[in-house]
Amino acid sequence: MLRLLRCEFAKLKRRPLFFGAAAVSALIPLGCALFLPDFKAFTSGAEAVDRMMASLFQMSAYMLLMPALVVLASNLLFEEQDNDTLKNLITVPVNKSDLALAKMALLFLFAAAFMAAGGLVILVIVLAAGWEPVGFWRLFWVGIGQGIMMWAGSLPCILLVVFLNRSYIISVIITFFYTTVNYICSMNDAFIMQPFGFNLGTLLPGPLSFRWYYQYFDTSKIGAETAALVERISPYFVTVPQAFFIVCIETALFLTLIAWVYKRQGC
Amino acid sequence: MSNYIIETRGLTKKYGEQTSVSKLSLHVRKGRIYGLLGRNGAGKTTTMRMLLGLTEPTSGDVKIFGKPLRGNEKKILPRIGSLIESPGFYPNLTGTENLRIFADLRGLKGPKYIKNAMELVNLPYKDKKLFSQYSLGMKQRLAIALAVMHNPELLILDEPINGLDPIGIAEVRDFIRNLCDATGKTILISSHILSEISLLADDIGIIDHGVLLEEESLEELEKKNGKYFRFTVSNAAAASGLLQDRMGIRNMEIDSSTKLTVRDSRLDAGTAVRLFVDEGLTVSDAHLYEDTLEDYFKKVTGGEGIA
Repeated sequence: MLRLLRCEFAKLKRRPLFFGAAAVSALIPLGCALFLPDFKAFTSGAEAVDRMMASLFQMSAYMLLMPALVVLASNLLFEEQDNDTLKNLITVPVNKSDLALAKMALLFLFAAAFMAAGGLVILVIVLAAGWEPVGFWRLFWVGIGQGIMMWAGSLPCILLVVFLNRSYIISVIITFFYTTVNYICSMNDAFIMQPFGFNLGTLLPGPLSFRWYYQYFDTSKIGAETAALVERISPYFVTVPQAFFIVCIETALFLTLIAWVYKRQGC
Repeated sequence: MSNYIIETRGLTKKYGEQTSVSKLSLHVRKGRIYGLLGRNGAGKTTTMRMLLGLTEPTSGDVKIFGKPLRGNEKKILPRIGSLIESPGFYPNLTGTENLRIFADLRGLKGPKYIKNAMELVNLPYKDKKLFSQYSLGMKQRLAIALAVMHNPELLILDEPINGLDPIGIAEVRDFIRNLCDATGKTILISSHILSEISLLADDIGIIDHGVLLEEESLEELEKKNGKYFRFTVSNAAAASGLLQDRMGIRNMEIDSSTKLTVRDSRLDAGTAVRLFVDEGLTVSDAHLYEDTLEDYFKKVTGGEGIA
């Protein structure tokens, strides 16, 4: 598997789509720093870190990372068919399920690196602005955790893309809807305010991720509106074991299905 | 133990109602070049794909190195080098980078395997040119390099000379011949180009509409090829009578008033010409004709030529 993963990295050379997607990780933090008026109104390093990391979690992860993962997945999974290299791999022999899993592992690393890069860009901006990055590293690791959650959350969408085999347009449409639904759900009380259990608020990656990461923000200096939100949703926050238990279950299920569907497709 | 490196029994592939390969029983001997000859769409590629586990047979068995392919892929496939249909590589990588990926997957350590393979097919090692910028001939060479890189015992090459220029064709032909002669590799090669197969193969299988019509060594096929004499004389009917009465020759046809074709293998042409001259006939031409592989192919497939 490690050998396959190494080869997946080697195949990325001179692939602008992949590096473009990676570069997007810096987009939201830079945009916030350059264009948001709030940025100039921060009174402390802790506030700057909190607000900017919140924008990373809410905007980058939901709106950029998840669609990027699905688009990249369709690109990675179908490159073998498109380039007619699958026959060369199968005659090595490489197991198609292992190949699919190696590609998913690559996306896992991409998701973690995407959030890490976004976080580090924020750190640089905060330091450049002369603030002390109070509480940064805790949120940095939460960000990587959220990247992993987004990766796991994108797996059902990737499964659908693999199942529909080769249709890039349909992949993009599915991605758009899935991302939008997840984002809306993560902002909706009906999904957020559900107990941990077998319900959409727990099973959908958007609300689950929100219920996990939001508890790590500093709530000591927040406005009335945000305070009301925190009071409302805090009973529904999920712990690290709860969140990652769901992530692990969903990952195991969808990786198995992706590997199975990919293997069944002809070469 | 069987002397066959590849042996199939009743190999059949159906796509819906259409039968692509039908009850094919192929026998490829160790250390020989086996030429699978057939028109486009005859079933050559489907057969080769089934031999490599790329296509699941509808029925029948494939044995390679004496073992069933199914269930032994991990042991058998690393011993095979293959080129199936068009060369498939990553367009964003150079030839060397492409080979490095497959070398890594095959567990080949160090650059020598890649370097040797590229030198064998006359491609520059560590060239900056991307695969997407390669000509068709270069792509084909790279595919051959990939097939031989891990020094396999068996090569399965589907139309390996496609896209090559005449010099490239000759080079690849010599290269394949040398692989077999010098290293004892077994090679299964498919082509629709008769002349190439006749220059290269030791054994020939003729496939048409998915059916293996004939499987012989080239020597046997050459023996089977028809030989006949054609005489141009002043009176073909009189010449025919003379051959029949004086030499006991029966198998002949009068093509026209001056042309006579004799298919009897007992005929001694010198004696016949002397006889004609002695009996006052004028002989303006006497020629021995031999059927080509193309003629034989036409005869076996019962149709048009291969091209």
